[in-house]
Amino acid sequence: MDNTILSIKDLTIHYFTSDFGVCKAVNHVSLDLKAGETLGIVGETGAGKTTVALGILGLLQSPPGRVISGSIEYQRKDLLKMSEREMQKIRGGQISMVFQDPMTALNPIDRVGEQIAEVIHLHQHCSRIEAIDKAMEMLELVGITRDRYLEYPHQFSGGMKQRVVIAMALACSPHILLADEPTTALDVTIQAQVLDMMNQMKKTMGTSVILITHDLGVVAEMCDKVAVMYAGEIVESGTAEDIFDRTAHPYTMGLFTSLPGYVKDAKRLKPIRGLMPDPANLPELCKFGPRCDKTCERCSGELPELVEITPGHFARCFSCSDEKGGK
Amino acid sequence: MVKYIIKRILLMIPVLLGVSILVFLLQLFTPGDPADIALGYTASEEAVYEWKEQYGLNDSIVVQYGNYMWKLITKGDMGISYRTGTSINTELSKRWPISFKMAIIATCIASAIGIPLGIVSAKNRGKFLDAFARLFGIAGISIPVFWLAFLFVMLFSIQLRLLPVSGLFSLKHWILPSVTIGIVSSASILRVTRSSVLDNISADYVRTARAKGQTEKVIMRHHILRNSLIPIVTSVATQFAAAIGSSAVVETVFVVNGMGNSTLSAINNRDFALLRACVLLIAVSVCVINLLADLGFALIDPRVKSRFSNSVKHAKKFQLKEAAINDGKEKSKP
Amino acid sequence: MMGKKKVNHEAEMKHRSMMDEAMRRLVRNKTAMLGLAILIIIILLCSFANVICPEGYDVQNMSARFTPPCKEYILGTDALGRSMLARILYGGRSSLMIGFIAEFISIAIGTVLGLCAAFFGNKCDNIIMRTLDVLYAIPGMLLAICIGALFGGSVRNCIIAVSIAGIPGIARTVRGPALSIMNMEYIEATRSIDASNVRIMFRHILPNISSVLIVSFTMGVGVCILTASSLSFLGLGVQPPSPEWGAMLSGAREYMSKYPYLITIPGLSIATVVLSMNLFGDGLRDALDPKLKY
Repeated sequence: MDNTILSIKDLTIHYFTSDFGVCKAVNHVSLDLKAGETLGIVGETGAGKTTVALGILGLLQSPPGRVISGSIEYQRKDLLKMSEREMQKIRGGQISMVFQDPMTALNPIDRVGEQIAEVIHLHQHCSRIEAIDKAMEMLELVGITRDRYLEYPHQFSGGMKQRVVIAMALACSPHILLADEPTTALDVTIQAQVLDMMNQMKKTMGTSVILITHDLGVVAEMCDKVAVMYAGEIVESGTAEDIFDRTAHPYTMGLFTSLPGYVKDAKRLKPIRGLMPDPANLPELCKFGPRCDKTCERCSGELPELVEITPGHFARCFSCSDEKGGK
Repeated sequence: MVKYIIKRILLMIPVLLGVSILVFLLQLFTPGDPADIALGYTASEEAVYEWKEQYGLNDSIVVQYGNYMWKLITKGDMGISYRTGTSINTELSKRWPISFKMAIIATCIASAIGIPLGIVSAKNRGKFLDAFARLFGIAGISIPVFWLAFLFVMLFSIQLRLLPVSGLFSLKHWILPSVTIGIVSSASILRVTRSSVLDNISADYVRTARAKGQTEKVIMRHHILRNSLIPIVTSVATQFAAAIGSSAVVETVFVVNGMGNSTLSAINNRDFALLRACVLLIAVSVCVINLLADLGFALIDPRVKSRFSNSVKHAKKFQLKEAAINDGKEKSKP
Repeated sequence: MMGKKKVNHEAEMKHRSMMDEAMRRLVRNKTAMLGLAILIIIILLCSFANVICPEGYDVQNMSARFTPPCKEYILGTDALGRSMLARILYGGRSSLMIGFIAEFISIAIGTVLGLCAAFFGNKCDNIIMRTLDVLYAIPGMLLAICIGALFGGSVRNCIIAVSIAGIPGIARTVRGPALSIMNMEYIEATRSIDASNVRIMFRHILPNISSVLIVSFTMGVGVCILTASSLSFLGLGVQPPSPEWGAMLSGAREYMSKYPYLITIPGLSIATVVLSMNLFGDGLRDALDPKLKY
C-alpha cells in the first residue's frame, strides 16, 4: 500500500522583485515523502530549498513570492488550494517547520515555555495547565530541565534555543517535520547532539522528516532518501545509497569531490568551477551546463529531463541516461 | 525590579546636579548685569552693591552655588526673583502645573493619534492608508508649531468662532494649545511606531509564530506589537520633553501663564534666579518622565529587567503558585 | 599587514558598489527626487534673491502697505509696504545658511564625541555620555533659547545655540554603531597598538557610520531651521531689519485676522523647505538601508 504522506508535483515558485526582476527560485520540482521516512534536500545556498519548504506551509512572503504552478498533496487535499484558516490548523499541528537561525527564531520577550505552550494550546484542546505540563515534558524531551520553562530566550545558548524550537515543532506530534538547515548555525559538537536528538524523537514519534541541508555528512547520517537541488530544479534523487555510492549527476559528483578528504594529502581543494546562475537569469537549457565537465553535443541542443537510471534513482543529465549507472 | 528602579533614580541625581551647574555657568558667562535691569542703568554704586548684597550676588559663584543648592535641597526653596523680589516658589507653584499638565495632555493626544495611525500604516504597507499616514507624518515634522498654532487660531477662533484665542480660563481654552502641540508631536510618534512595527513584522520570530499555526490577529497583538513597544515608549518620552521645550513658543502664541512664559521673561530680564528655577523644574519633569519610560522598558522587555533582578527567585514564586494549582501532581524541582 | 590592506581594499570595493546600488534606489524614489527638486529650486531662488529682487528687502513703500498677492507684488507687501517676495527670498538665505551650518557643526562635534566615547571606552565614555545626559535633560528648544538669548540675538549666536542643542543627539546616534563596529575590529587592535592603527580605525568606522550620518544630517537641517525660526519668532535670533521667516510671523501676528496672507506665506515657506529636506532625507534613508523593501 502506498504510504506516501506528502506528494509535491511540478511545483514552480517565482519571486517578482522590483530591483532584480523575476527570480525563478523553484522550477517544476516534484518530490514524494513516505511515512516515517527522512528525505534530505541537498544543495548550495540559493538553490531554492528553503523556498520549497516555505511553499509547503504557505509561508512565502506574498508580495514578492508567488506559486506559479503545481500541487502539494497531503491527506488527499492540495495544500496550495487551502484557505488560510485550514492552513493554520495544519501548521504546527500536522506539519511543522524548524528554521535555520535559532538566535532570532524565538520571541525575545516571551517565556520559552510559554512559546511551546502556545503551539500546544493552538492545536490540542486542553486546559492551560495541561498545556504547561506538556510543554515542560517537551523541554525535558529535548534535554532542558523543566524549571527553565520560565526563562527567556536570551538566557539560552544557540544550541539550546534550537532545541526549544525543535520542542515547539514536535510538541503536537506532527506527521511531517520540515527542518531547514537546523544545525547550520551551531557548533559541530552541538550539531551532533541536536541531530541525535532529532533522530531519537523521529523514531519514537514516527515523524516523517524533510531535512534541508548543504552538509553531505548530515545527509549520510540522517536521511533515507535524498534529492539534490540545483538552480531551483531537482537534478538527482534516490536513496542515500544511490546518491553516495552510485552518484550519477555531474553536480552531485562535484559536490563529493569538493569535500576535503581525511585520508589523502591534498594541497588544494577541488571546487566546482564557476558560480550558481542568477535565478533571475537562468540558462535556457541545462542549468548546470556552464559549469559542467561532462557536457556533450546533446547538452547544447536539448533540455535534459529527469530520467530513471535504476529503479527509484533519477538524474537530470544526458551523460547518465547514456552511461546508465554513472560512477 | 526594585533594584532597577532605585538604580535609575540614583542616576537621575548627577544629571540634575549637572543641570544646576550648567545654569550657574550660564550666569557666569552671560554678559549683562541683573542689577542693571532691576535698578536701571543710572543707579548709584552703593545702591547696586546693596541690591546685590540682598541676593548674595557679591559672593563668588562657588559660594552662591553652595548656598543655592543647600537651600534647595534642605528647604525646597528656590530663592527670590531678581526682578520682582518675590518668592519664586509661590510664583512657579501656579505656573508649573499648567505647563506640566499641558505637556502631558499634548503627549497623550499625540500618542492617541500617532500610535494607532502608525500601526495601521505598517499593517497596510503600500496601500492608500499607508501613503496618507506617511504624508501626515512627514508634514507634521516639517511644520513649525507656532505656525500651526496661528493657522488653528485663524480657522477656529477667528473664522469659525468656535474656540477662544488666548488665555486659559476654561476647559475650552485648553483645547487649541494642547491639540496644536499634540498634532505636531503625533507625527514623530507615528513615524517611530510605523518603523518599529515594520521591523517586527518581518522578524524571524513572527515567521516561527506563523509556522506554529497562530492566527494573524494574535500574532499582531501578542508578538509584533509587544516587541515594537520600546522605541515607541522612547519616542513618547522624547515628545514630552519636546512639548515642554516648546512651551515657551506656544505660551507666547496663546498667552498662557506657564513656565515657558516665565522662562522667557527671566531671560529677558537677566533674572537668573527665576531662570535657574525654571530650567531645573523642566529638567526634573523630563527626568521623571524618562524614569517612567525606563520603568516601562523593564516591564516590557525582560532583557532589561534581568540585568537588575533575580529571575530564579521569580521562578520559584511561580512554581509555588503552580504547585498550589496542580495539587497532587509532582512538584518541580526548587 | 599586507592581508589587512587587502581586506581594507575589498571592504572599500564592496562599499562603493553598495553606494552605487543605493544611488540607483534613491533616484528611483519619486518623492525623494521631488523633495530634492524643490530644495534645489528654493536654494537657487534664494541665492539669486539679488537678481530677482534687486531692490532689496528693506525698501518701504507706505502707500502700498498690506497689498495682498497680486500682479505687481507676487507675494504682497507687509505692514511697512516691503515686498514679501524680497523678504521671503532674503530671509530664506539666512534660514538655509543657519540650518546647514548649525547642523554641520552639530554633526562634526557630535561625531567626534561619539567616536571618542566609543573608541576610548570606559572612563572617557562615561564622562562624555554623562555630560551629554545633562544636555539631554534640557529640551533642545529650551537649551537653544537659553544660549541664544543670553548671549544676544545674532546670526552667529543663533547658529551656536542651535548647533549645541543638536550635539547630544548626534553623539548618541554615532556611539551605538561605532561601539558595535569597535567590538568587531577591536580584536585586531589589541594585537598591535600604534598610532597608524588609530587612523585605520577611523577609516574603518567612519565609512560604516557614514550612511547614518548622511541621513542624520538631512533630517537634522530641517530641525535646525525650525529651531532657528522659533528663536527668531521669540525675538531671540536674527534681529530686525534682517528678514527671517520666524520673525516675520511674529510681526504679522497682530494682523492675523485682517491679512492672513502675512501669516500663511512665511509659515508655508518654512514648511516647504523643511518638508523638501525631510522628503529627501527619508528617501536617502530608504536607499541606504541594506534591508530591501519590496
